[in-house]
Amino acid sequence: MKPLKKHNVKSVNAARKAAKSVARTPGIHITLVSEKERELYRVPSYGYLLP
Amino acid sequence: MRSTDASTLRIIDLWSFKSSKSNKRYIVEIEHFSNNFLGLKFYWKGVADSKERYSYLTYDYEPRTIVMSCIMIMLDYFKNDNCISFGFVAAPNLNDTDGPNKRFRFYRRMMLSIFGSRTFAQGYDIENSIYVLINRKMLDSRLISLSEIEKEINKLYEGEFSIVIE
Repeated sequence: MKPLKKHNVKSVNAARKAAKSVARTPGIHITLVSEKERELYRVPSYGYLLP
Repeated sequence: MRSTDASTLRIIDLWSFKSSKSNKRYIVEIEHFSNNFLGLKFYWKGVADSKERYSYLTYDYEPRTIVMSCIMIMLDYFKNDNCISFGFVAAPNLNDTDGPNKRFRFYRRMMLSIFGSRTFAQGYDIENSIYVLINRKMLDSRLISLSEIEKEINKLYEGEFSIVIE
């Protein structure tokens, strides 16, 4: 059995290009936002309207 | 008149508001899908007949005010039905290149700043610039799942809802 070829990814752009070159199941794929991403992107001074 | 069979009709609520800064009127379309899922779209009324209406830039520099108005509409739906989930597509600007577009990044920042994680689980499909706010109560009680949301959105992309009013 032939081993799978691994992508040697060194940067975000390279990862993105690699993802595009691999055949994807067509359709929408939702990724949930992590707490780390939440803290990275939110603006705390806005204040939550819903908890 | 609405059909009792939700799969045969597109049910779209129309909202409208006027910006006190630019004096422009905006149209907000709220489309009803199954599993208490609502799809949001909005555009300036002045380009309502354009196919590029979702990508159009007004250069009024008031995106936060406009998006907050849409958020107020979302809150109104949530007030009447606390099982609701939302989704929307961040349309690319006409000259946007690959990667998460500017609108997507702006919407993500707004949604994460306005809605905490206890009411909605937030998610995205970065390739298609789709952002979703999934009702946490429905998700935790397994009345709705990510795959069901994906299936619902896939139906839209595959043209199952193929009636388009131009």
